[in-house]
This record gives sequence, structure tokens and C-alpha cells, in this order.
Amino acid sequence: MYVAVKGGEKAIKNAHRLLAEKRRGPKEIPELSIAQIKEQLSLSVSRVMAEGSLFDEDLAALAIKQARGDLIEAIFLIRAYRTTLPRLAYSLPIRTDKMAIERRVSATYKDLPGGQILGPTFDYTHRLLDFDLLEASDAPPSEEQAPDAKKSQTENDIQASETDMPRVLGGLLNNEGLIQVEKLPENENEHPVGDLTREPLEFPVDRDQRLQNLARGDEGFILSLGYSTQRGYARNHAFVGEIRLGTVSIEIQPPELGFTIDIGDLEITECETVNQFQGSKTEPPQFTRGYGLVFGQNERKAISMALVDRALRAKEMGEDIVAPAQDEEFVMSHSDNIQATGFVEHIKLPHYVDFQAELGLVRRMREEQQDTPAQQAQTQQAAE
Amino acid sequence: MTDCLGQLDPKSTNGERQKWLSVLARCTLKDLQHHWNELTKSEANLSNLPYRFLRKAETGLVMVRGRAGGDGQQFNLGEVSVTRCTVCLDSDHIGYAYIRGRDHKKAELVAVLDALLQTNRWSQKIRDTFVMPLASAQEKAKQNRKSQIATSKVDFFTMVRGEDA
Repeated sequence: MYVAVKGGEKAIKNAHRLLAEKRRGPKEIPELSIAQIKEQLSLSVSRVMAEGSLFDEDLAALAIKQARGDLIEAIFLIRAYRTTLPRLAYSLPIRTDKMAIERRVSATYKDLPGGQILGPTFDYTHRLLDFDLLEASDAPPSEEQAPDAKKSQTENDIQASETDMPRVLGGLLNNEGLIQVEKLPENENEHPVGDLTREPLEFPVDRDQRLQNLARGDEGFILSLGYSTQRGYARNHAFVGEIRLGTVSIEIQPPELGFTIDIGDLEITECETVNQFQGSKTEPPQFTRGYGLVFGQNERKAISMALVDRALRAKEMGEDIVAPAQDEEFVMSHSDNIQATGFVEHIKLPHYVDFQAELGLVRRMREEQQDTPAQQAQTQQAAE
Repeated sequence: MTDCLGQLDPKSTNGERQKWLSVLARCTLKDLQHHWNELTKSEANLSNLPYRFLRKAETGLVMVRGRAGGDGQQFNLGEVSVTRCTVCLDSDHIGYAYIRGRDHKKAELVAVLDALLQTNRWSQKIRDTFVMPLASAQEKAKQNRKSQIATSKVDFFTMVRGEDA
């Protein structure tokens, strides 16, 4: 139990001053700008937006600056800020099939309509430190690396015309009926979409709540759970059917207008996994699927989310629940890093009264034990 | 005008309006102000355009929804900051703005432009000086990016290994 303490105002004020000094660092080093964080630490910004559950690059960059680069602290700041704003609307479901693609790869099909586009990826880099980056340089990253951008107009036109990128799972595999179809609830418009920010978590939950929880869940936690499924704690061997990174339009329908409007772009990473096939006496074997969707550029999280989403569908698929990644109560109750850090870190705050009570109890038990050695066993039991 | 929307139905009755709102929502405040300043240089009566607020610019959130597997059950993905503003001209034309982000000045300017675009007096002028150049700039930027991204298009080939040869 935590009992509130009073006093210490002056020390707290000074501690916060020290924090501000530490954040700024030596004055002779130029201060970071929000634009620098946004543009040059964009993957940190992506993570803060995804787990803060608020897409706003400037605010995420500000939070990172204020939190001295502690991303969970930054996520905390974003979560706190979002509670101060009214909710104006719900968007129409985003159309990831209409994404302006920055990257799109499939690990299941080598040749696919629209092609494989690597985009800005760490894949196939050698993971060698680039010591050239030690020195700041105003020169743009070697122009020779992008000669193709100046290809002939015809070639660019050809590339531009190849915009049709059908979904690998829904499009290609589904043509043969080899993969599960995503089910839509009957009378979709009357079916409320679960919202964890509005309703308390009650188990069992539906897939909509699980996906929302995973989308804002801690990257490290989801990654480890995803990894656990690959190592055998819930067998559902996965392939990455498709990863997409790019921007999609956000569309809303304001009641005062009565028609749909497009309010801007959203950067998003999507991953679809093709998982172990299953079949039954009545249904022929077919592949199952997992889905990951994350704000910003975050492929690791999107893949992990898809793995865990698939594992959490165990009940729906009639699988035995034998592993942590299949247990929705375990996963969803521990995925939120703000809840987790709040509870884990709160034990460093003053617990003087609480501890005094425990101290008194231990002293009394020891006295009793010395008084009557015969009661030793009983006392120990009580202590346990 | 270049179609830079793709998703909204341009044939619907509100198609034109949807298109210009989409283009304006994607502009930076700097671009909008630049075009506005150019316009008011030649059209002095716009620089003191009277209008009143039906709703002052305010920032809030829109909950973004996705679908499982891209086309399945809906779920709430997370929120995005959005600013809205509603203005009314003396001619009773009402302009709306819903834009991603927290820029109140931009929302106000977009709302004013939306109202002007509905008037007979200004519609063509605003289209010519704002919507068309901004739309084509956006389309050009999109195509440029597409060309840059296309340079990383890869053709993987599989190789036969060892004893399987």
C-alpha cells in the first residue's frame, strides 16, 4: 500500500531543476530542435506515436526531447496529453490496399504483381558502424546512390503505371481458397467496435480489442511473445505474406457535412502472416493468418503483432491454449508499458508506513517464536 | 485538375468539394499563406474579408480504424490529432475545415477558402490560384517519390543449392 507523503517541496523543485539541466546538457553543445528529432530520429518518433497511441510527429518529437530520449517516458507524456483532448470523430477504416507505397515485400512470393520494393530498410545492410557519421556533414547523402531517379521519363512512367499492388493474402492466395477469409460481423454498422480507451478490459475479449491492445502494446513485450511462438510456445509456423509501409488517407464523415472528407495522410506499417494450415472433417486444409498494423515505420512491431494476433486466435481455431502468447488475459494485461512501468516503478516511491507495518509484524513474530519455540512451525506457516 | 485523391468518388455531388478539401488539408500553412498573400495583392477586398466563426479553431482527436487482414473486422488502431474550424461569410456561405495536426491558423484559412470556393464570385479564382497549383504540386511530389522508391524495386532469384543441382 502506498500512503501519501507531504513535504520535500524544495528538494523536489531542485531535483526538477537538475533534471532540466541534465536534459539540456552542456550549453556549448547546440540544443536539439523538434525538426531534427522528427526528421533524423524518425523511428523513435514512430515508436512513441504507436505506443502513445497518438499520431502526431511534432508532439512525439517534443516528448522525446523532454524525456531525454527515454521512449517509455515520452510515451507516458503522449498518453497523458491525449486525455486532455476531446474526441471529434472516428475515421472510416483506412484502406491499406490504396497505400502510397514506400516499401512492400513478400517472403512467400518471389514474383508478385507490383513487385518487391525494398524502400528505406536496414535489411541487407552489413551492420557495420559508419564512422563517417561521427562528423556532421552538410553534404546530401551521396547523390550517386540514386541515379535511377533520373531515369528516362518513359521508364518512370512505366514504373508509375505499375501501381496496382494487390494484397498478397486477400488477393493472390485467396483466389485458390487456400487461405482463411477475414470474417465480417453481420450488420457491421450495428456492431460496436471495442475501444479500450473507453471501456474497461473484461475477459474474454474479441479480436478488435486484442488488435487495439497489441497496436499500442510495448514493442519489446510483443516482440518477445512473438519470438516465443516461433520457438515452440504455441506452434503456428509463420511466413511473412506481405509487409507494407507507406501512407494512407484518413477519412471521416462529419455529421454537419454529411459526406466523407479526407483530412490528411497517415504513415503506417502493415504485416500479414501466413500461418500453419489447419483443416477439419468438414473443411479442407487451409492457411490461417495473423495481422499487424502499427503507426509510423515499425516493421519489427508489425511482424511481432501479427505473430501474437495469430497465437491469440487459438480459441477461435479450436487449438489448445498451452502457451503465454495464446493467453489473452496474460498478453493484454501485461502489454501496456505505461501500466507496467507505473506499477513496477512505483515501488521506489515512499512506502514508509507500509514498511513500518511489515517491520512491526516481523519483530512481533520473532518475539513470539523466542517465547514459545514449540509454536515455531505454526508461526512460519502464518508468515507464509 | 489532377486527381490526387483516388479514393473519394469524384462523380458524387460533393466530389469537387471533397477534392479541394483534401488538397487544402495536405498543404503546409506556409504554402497556403504564400498563395493567399499573392491573391490579396491583386484582390484587395479579400484582405479584409469579413467572416464570423461558427466554431473557432479547436484541436481534438480522431480515432483511426483499421480492419483485420486489411478487409476484415474493424478495430480501433489509435488516435490522430485533428483541428477543425467553421466560418460563415456575409453571403451565408459556410466553410468547414478538418485537418490533421494542431495548426489553428491553417484550419481557419482552409475554412475561409472552403467558404469562398462555394461562392460564384470567388470559386474560379480560388481554384486557379490555390487548388490547381497546389494539387499539381502534391501530385508531382507524389510521382517523384514514387520514382525514387521504384529504384529499390528488386528481383530476387532463387539459386539451386549443392546436391540438389
